[in-house]
Amino acid sequence: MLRFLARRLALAVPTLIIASMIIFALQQLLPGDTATALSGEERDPEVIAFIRAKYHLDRSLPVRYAYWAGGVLQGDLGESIRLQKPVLELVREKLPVTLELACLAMLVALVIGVPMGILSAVRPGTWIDGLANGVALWGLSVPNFWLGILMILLFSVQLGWLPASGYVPPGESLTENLRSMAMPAFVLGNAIAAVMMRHTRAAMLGVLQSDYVRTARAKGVPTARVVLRHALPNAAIPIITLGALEFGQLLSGAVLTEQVFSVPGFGKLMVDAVFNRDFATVQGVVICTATTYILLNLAADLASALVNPKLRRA
Amino acid sequence: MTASPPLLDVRDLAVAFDTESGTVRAVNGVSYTLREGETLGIVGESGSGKSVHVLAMLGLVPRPPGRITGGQVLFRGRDPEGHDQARDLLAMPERHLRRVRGAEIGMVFQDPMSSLNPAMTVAAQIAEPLRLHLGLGAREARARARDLLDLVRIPDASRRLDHYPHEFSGGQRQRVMIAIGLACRPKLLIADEATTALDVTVQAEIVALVQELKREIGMAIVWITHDLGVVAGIADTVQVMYAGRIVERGPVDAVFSDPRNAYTLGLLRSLPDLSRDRAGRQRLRQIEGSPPDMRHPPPGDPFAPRNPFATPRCRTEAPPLAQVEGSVPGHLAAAWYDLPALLAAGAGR
Repeated sequence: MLRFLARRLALAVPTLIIASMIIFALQQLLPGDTATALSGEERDPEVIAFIRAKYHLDRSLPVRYAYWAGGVLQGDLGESIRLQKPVLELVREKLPVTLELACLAMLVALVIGVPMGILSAVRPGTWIDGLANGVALWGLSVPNFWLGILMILLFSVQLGWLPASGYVPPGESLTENLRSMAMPAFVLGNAIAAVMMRHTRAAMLGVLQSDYVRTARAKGVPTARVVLRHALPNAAIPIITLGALEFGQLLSGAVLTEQVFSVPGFGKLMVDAVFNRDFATVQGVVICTATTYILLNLAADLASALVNPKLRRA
Repeated sequence: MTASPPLLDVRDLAVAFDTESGTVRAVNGVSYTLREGETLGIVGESGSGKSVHVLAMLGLVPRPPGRITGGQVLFRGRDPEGHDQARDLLAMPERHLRRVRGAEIGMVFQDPMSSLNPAMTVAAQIAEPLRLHLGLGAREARARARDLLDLVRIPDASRRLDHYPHEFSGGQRQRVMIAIGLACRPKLLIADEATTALDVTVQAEIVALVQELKREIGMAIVWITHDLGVVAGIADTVQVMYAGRIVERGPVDAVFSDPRNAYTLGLLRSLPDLSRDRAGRQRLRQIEGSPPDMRHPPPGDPFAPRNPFATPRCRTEAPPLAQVEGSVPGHLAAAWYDLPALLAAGAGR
């Protein structure tokens, strides 16, 4: 198990290096130039030249990459040109917000998606199955931003139950924090719940027809235990893998949803940085996202190994 | 026969499957009895209803598409108050039937590779019926699970308890299945093609094991197979099924030496005979044709279209299962024709 972990972590290093190189190179394709963007209205050639020299923008791409990578290795993600703040500080500020939103959305997705998937697989072709499939279709088809706006209209404008926007840190007031997160978390979780439900249903349908489920029934095991103890662990691997992927997606920032509810998370930071050619910030966010993605996949593999004994010794 | 009432009394059991292309009548009025401690071998080809009728009586046929269309299955087990009593399994609510399955009737299935749960240790799988039906605690159940592994001759049982099915060989997995089937000391063990997926040598080991266990525990056995050799070795009574009916039934010796139904004869003739010397070698005989489409079974005897001995009456009227004249009591066959006379006259050589 430890060797498995070490090998997977070692594999993460080249993945991160390649990801950072790709994003570094891709940014060069963006039209516009940092120095020009920063130099203000006058576009004074001397100012531009000064900025170029200060941020090594006059050097070649590989050299700039080397400067940046050297900094990262020392825990320095560079400085946001726009906000005049270290990128690390920005990440530290936004990451908890996005992390909380992602966790809450995942919770919504799991609580709705997995039980619905199980129920519809246990009773295929019944009204429960139909209802679950209908809910999933709705979840997949409704655009997040539209659902968000409708929810704001209903719960904030009409009923006045929840704040329409804004973010309250949990340290300030946990209830206010949860109230401000409820709608964005539901909107994000709703779409993932639909995918979760479909995958859970498919995996469970397959497992419920297996010979070992028949064996369990032949042993006189009650239905609920057959489903939860015998079938679910065998159906769990695709659900865990999907969960990790979706969670990674959430952590890289839910751009539209954060925009609709004005949640100051990763997505908003990223979009602002791209529009302002704030390359250091873009780089920093991408590296953080890639790292969490890799760690999440590793966690998913470990979780799969826990439910599937065959993978444990692989 | 014996004065005591039978352990299992199947009466006119009928099972159908609703498919998109019509209703498949998989089992059509099967009736038989099983004494305590008796070993019954049920043979027949795929689709003869031999497995389905057993799964149906235990409520293990998925509904839909499966449907029990008639009959009674009286099983003399303990009722909820603990008295021995014959009760109709088909009329029982699922929660009562659940107490019969795994406790009083154990099952062993065909493919030990897929019939054990890959995500549970064998200890957990063997202990489960013990805890559910006998109410044992975790520690007691584990100790019993170890004893059961010993019982089915798995070496080094205490070390193997926490292993998963993929760490066992095919034969060992079938031994684990048998341990599960016998965990609660059932009165009846049903083995559904239990040796079919195994190597020949492993098959022989499993058959020998079951025979030993029968001597130790004394349960009745229903052994479903298409392997007549296994039946000859293990069963007291053999029952041949075709197209969802019993076509012949009786003591193994009587049926094998003096078959009265043409299908039984066909099965026996398709067996390789290793005792025959080289000079006497002959081609294996196969039964021509294929089983009837059970959505539209032919009128009369369903085997008639493939039967070289068929009479005109066979094609219009299904023969009843009746005592064979001139054979031992309990030798029953369904045939309008007199097979020994036809064979003596040189028909169907």
